[in-house]
Amino acid sequence: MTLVRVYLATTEGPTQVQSIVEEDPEVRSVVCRDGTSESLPISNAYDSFVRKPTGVVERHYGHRVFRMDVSSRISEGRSWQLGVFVAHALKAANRLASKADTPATVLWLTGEVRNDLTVAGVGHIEEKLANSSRLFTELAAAGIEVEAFIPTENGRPDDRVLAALPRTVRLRSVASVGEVCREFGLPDPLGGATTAVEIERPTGVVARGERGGHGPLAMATAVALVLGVPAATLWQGGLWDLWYWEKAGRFRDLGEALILAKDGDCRTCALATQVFQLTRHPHGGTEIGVGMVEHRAPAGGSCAQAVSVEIPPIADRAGVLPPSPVENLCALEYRLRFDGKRAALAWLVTAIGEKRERRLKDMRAQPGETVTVRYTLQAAQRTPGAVDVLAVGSSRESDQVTAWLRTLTTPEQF
Amino acid sequence: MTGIWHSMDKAGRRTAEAAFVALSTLDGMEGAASTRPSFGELWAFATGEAEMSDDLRRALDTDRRLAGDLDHLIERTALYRFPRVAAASSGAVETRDGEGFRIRLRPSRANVEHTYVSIEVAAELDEPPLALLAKGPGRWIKLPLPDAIDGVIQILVDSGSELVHALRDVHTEVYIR
Repeated sequence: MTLVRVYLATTEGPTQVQSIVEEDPEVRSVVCRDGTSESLPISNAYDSFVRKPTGVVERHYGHRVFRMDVSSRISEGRSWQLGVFVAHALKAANRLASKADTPATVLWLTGEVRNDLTVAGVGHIEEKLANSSRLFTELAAAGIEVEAFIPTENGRPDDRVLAALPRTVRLRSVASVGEVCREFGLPDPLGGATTAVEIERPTGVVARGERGGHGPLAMATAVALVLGVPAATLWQGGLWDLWYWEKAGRFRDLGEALILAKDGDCRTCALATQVFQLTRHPHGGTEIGVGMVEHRAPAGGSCAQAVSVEIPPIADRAGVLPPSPVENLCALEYRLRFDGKRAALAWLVTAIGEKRERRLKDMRAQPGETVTVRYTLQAAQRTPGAVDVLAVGSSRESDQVTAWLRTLTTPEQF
Repeated sequence: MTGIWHSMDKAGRRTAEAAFVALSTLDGMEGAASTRPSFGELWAFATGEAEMSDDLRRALDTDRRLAGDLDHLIERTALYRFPRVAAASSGAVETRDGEGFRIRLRPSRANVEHTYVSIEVAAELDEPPLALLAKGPGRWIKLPLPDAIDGVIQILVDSGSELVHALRDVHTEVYIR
């Protein structure tokens, strides 16, 4: 009997269904994280999904209360339902792989399940696929293929996302849970006849990179010929991921991968990063000039009489501004000058006052444009170390950078 | 300001709270050199979301008067106090019954190291229960409560936790806040 591992796709990355166990019928179903007593926020929704009359699991698999353990937090939404129903179907057939098992098959699913067991569309499909790329790559390296399922109602994902999927990921769309069950020899609760539909990868699309024939596959092949390493090894060793992450603005993933490659003993990873650094786009970043203006009240005077003084960055330390004495300081004005040759995006993160009140501004500017951001300090904020500012520039959009910068609160993190 | 806390109306409780805060502030002003925890700290633990600080816990271990103050404060501000389990009961307590409340302990079938604490709330309350307070041997344990669903509040805790030991002990006094 082949064991199947189930991953639930989330915007924070895939989470594995580790176990499903019947519980005391007198309690409510619960979703816990990784075997701990931490009940996740979706527990109440899971209970409703299981228990009759609102739920569908008890109706088809008999028991009304379960404890399900997953590898990481799922905070909200209903897109976990398709994967959870399939996990219950596998559990009923004694085929659900636990945390410790080595599965023969891996499933990756996202979709909401209606009461009639049809599958409703959900959000963030491309983001979920992209945020699962590391899992897909690791499984591919281990020779494990992934059967991925998304709702038919969502339509076809963006071609760029499809092109980025490893060949070991087979993506299909489904309109009902029965279509997934029949694919794996599980009883179809609906007894239907429709099948999952294969989603083909785009054809004739040049792979990532803006230099036509110098795309990643062509470059990997060229390097492989020089180094005597099979191109497929480089391809699966993470080179594709590095290009994709840089293109997608996922700088955090890119940074972590580069650090791992540098510090670890993954030979393929090291080769991939060397190739990446040789071929990365020359305009990957942007240049920001930083200036500051202090608005300071005269001794004994008020902010209405404030005098403005321009403060340049510290000599020989580009982009680093000197600290501002807080005495009589009314406001600080940051001037960001975009010196690159392309339109750029910038994020300005400021932590103000003892309570570290965080503010994040993101802005877009044209080459040569100067953007001004002003912070007026309240009396309570005029304490030493009152304001910390970090400016980050890029030529690309990046939700990941935005999300990361929102979490920074301390100067050390800056 | 007299009267039992839970018999006061909302205006009465707000006034009492203001009086306690004023007393606590006075404590802070007059007792600058005192290391005794303020009344405000006791109040925050007994009625709010605050956990017990290490300083307060140490003070309660050594200051009988302070410990008595906290006991009285919890008793007077609690929504409900469970009657003691009959002393003749043997073995561990799995259920505590009260007027309008029931606490049940159920070991998880899925994981023997975890226990479900279920609080059944029978009646409609003016305000939802916020915390469960249990006084084990010499110390208070506080468990913040999530919202009730269909009249039941369910929390999953470690079976070896202080809370489970306290709830299973016939000598433990239990309050709902």
